[in-house]
Amino acid sequence: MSNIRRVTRLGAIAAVGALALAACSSNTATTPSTSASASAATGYNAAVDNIVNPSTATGGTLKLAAQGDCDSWDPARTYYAYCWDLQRLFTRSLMGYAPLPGAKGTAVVPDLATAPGAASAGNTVWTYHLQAGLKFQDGSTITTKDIKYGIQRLYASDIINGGPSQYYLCLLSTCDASGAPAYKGPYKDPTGDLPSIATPDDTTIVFTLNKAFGDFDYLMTLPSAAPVPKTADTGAKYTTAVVSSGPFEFKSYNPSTGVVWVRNPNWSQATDTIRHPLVNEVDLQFVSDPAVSDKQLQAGTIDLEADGGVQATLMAQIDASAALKVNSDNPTTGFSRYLAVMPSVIPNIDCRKAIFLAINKADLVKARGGSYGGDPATTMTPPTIPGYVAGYDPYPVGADFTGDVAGAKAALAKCGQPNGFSVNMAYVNKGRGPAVFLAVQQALARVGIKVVSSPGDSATYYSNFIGSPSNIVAKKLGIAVAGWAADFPTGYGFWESIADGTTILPNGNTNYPSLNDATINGLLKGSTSAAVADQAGIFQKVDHAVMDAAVYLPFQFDKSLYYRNARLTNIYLNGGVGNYYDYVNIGVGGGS
Amino acid sequence: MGRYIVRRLLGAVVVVWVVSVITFGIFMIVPKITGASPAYLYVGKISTPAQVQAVEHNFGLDLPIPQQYLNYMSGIINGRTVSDGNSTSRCSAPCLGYSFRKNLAVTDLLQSHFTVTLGLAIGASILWLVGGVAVGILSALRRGSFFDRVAMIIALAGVSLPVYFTGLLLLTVFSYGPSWLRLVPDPTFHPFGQDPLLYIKSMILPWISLAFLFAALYARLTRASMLDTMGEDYIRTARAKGLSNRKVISKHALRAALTPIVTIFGLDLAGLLGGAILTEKTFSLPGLGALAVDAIGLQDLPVIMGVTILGSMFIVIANVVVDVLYGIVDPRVTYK
Repeated sequence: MSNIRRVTRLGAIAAVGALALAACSSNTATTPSTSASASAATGYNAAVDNIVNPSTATGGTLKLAAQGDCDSWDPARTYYAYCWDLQRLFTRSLMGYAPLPGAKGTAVVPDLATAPGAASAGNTVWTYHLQAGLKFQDGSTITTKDIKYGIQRLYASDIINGGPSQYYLCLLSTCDASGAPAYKGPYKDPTGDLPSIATPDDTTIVFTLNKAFGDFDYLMTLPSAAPVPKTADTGAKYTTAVVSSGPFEFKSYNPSTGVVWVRNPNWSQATDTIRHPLVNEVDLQFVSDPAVSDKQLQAGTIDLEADGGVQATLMAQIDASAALKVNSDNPTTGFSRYLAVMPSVIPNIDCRKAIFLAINKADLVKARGGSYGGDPATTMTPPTIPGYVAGYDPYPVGADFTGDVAGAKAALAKCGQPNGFSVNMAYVNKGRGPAVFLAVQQALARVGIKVVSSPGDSATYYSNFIGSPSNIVAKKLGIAVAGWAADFPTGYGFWESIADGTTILPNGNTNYPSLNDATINGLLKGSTSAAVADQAGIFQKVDHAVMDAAVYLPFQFDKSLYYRNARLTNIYLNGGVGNYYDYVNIGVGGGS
Repeated sequence: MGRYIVRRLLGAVVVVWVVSVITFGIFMIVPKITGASPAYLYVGKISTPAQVQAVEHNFGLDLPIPQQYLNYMSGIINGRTVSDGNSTSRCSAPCLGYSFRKNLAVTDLLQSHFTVTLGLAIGASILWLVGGVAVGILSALRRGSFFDRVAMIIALAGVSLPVYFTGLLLLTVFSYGPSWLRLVPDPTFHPFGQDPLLYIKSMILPWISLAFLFAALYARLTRASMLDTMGEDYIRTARAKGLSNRKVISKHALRAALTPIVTIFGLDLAGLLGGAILTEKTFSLPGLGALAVDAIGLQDLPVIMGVTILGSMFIVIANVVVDVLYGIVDPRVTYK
């Protein structure tokens, strides 16, 4: 079955390769512009599924702004979505995402590797070969030992932390009940090795996994799987001295003002089918007030806001102005916002269903920024993930999404609480958390459900407030606000962390309602060795089973309203990097 | 006078020490009570208890709080060695700890941000002192005139308008307005050492918006103080002795009228040196105020503590300096 999966992948790769070859035939500088010029478009939402302003003109500086610094520039430690996108400037991994707009960009293609991983029959052994001519910015050759070392660092979790190490740790080393792996990383472990990763030579790397993992190619796209030269590793301080393997390298970095990247002379276009850089320099400026960066965007002194959409004022201006709207995009981000309704606190499913039916999703969408900020969600799977079925709505709350009060009252009567009940609700005590709490409180009050505030500190909310099943029971947290997006765009990437009952942890648990359903667990396990053609069907079943359990109440699929400078060329939103613009391939028309 | 200064300085040291105890207590004991160890900030969203314990050990957060405080104070006086569990680095005195979020020594962070705040405070204070005091004196001398009325209306507006409003207004007009009005088309901060001219261009709007607020305040204060002084008996005596109006104002009235201005200026400047939060955030200046706000958002406790202690130190020192300056500005003041 894995062969069918690989054939399908190869088909996608062949298509991308053909596009790249088409580009090569007309110009020595291979850029996505020429390959996709047929789909070029302009106007509102044009960059969602098309390449806007295709061009091969090189030169100039791309000017980006963000409200603050990334969580880390160390590829092993960063977890902010836009920072993963920026990592494409200077970090390469074995695999990557195709340089194409929209859902086409979710195709996983070789980056440092010559081909996708060759998997064993059970998807437990994965082998990759490196291309020739790969170099770090200092001119030294990138070998498979550097890739292995980069992954070994993830195990030094007291120093190298914050990134998505949870995918690798127990897959490549044995873990105890708390999720702690036996291997302690290259700094402390006396054996100094992780035998599950073999590097028989400098261009071959073999991963032997503890269990089947069909999406391993996707894991190899993450920055956390990037090569790190052992001689340059400075531990926690590596964030200030990252060695580039991509087309750009750090020229300067000031955690307070910004970053400047310039071209890496040791990167070779001949080794890279994903990145087709056009600009000479990328500047990321930290602008703490988003209202100011919105102004800069309108004035054209910056090209894009790298870390998110525009604020309410510019949003209203865009809404009212066709001239502004033509340079705007409003894509889905892949995030599902939901309420986790805890069966450990509300064991009766009809009581939970009463909450599902009484909720006012229209108000919740308003509380989170209005229609440009998202659409009401009727099921957990976001539109960007296989298994999503438009229109599937097991708990309809009316055409206007304001709630089914009669249905909720009927469910309450069925659960033996016709006058409602009291429930504690957890939410983060800043940002949009309080507004969401108020919207839920008002909606449920209509059917007699009294919602009591239990705000949590943002620093520990996900780790040991709602991430601790025992704390949920101790504090009787019946409802918790949360959001989730897949770290890689597959069904398993979306569901494994939130619905697999075999991975529930005492702390740092992401399956907040502790959903442990044998059918769902079986479907998820089976998906790791299933054919690609069967994936959508499997995850559709997972979605339906999860919704039937009435523990996840989805209320919004997030969207962001972006504004792009009209001078930008080759600009598109890439589904592989969370529907952010593909910064590494954007041009500025060669101008200054 | 020497003994007075020494006594005041000793008092200042005690005040800063008390502030350090209270600050440390708040930022270290509260997380213990709430169960939100600062180590969670370092570990990230997904963490295991073992990870948290290891980080707590690396940073000495598992030690008793009094021991942590002693280590902290010892670091300020002698410096200390900071370890992340892999590598160690020397944090020179005054070492104010290590930022969990930025992987940098707090002292280094404060230094780099302080220069920005210092530049902002000095530039703005020159503008508001020159502008505010001059307008205040002229208004007092021409009490009830058209100039006085207009100046006081503008001053009232200046006092009433918050910095973020004035700042955004200036940005909207001079950075993002019609092209012929774009006198500062790129308001991005540029360090002085990189390009002095660009630095001045990037600081003009912050200086003006901050100075506008304070100048208005100082104009009203100077005017009121001057009017009070001009009505004093010794001013009438000076005039009766036949002194020229200029001498009466400069030698007698102004010196006495400036005493409250010196007091308030010292405290205002010290407050700004601790971080001009609104101005820095509005203009995205990487100063101490912006650092403090970001640190609060990220719950980077060592940085918050560092900014708090530094800010309180400025206030205490400013009080001492102001007290000493009284004797120089106003001959009626003597030290005991």
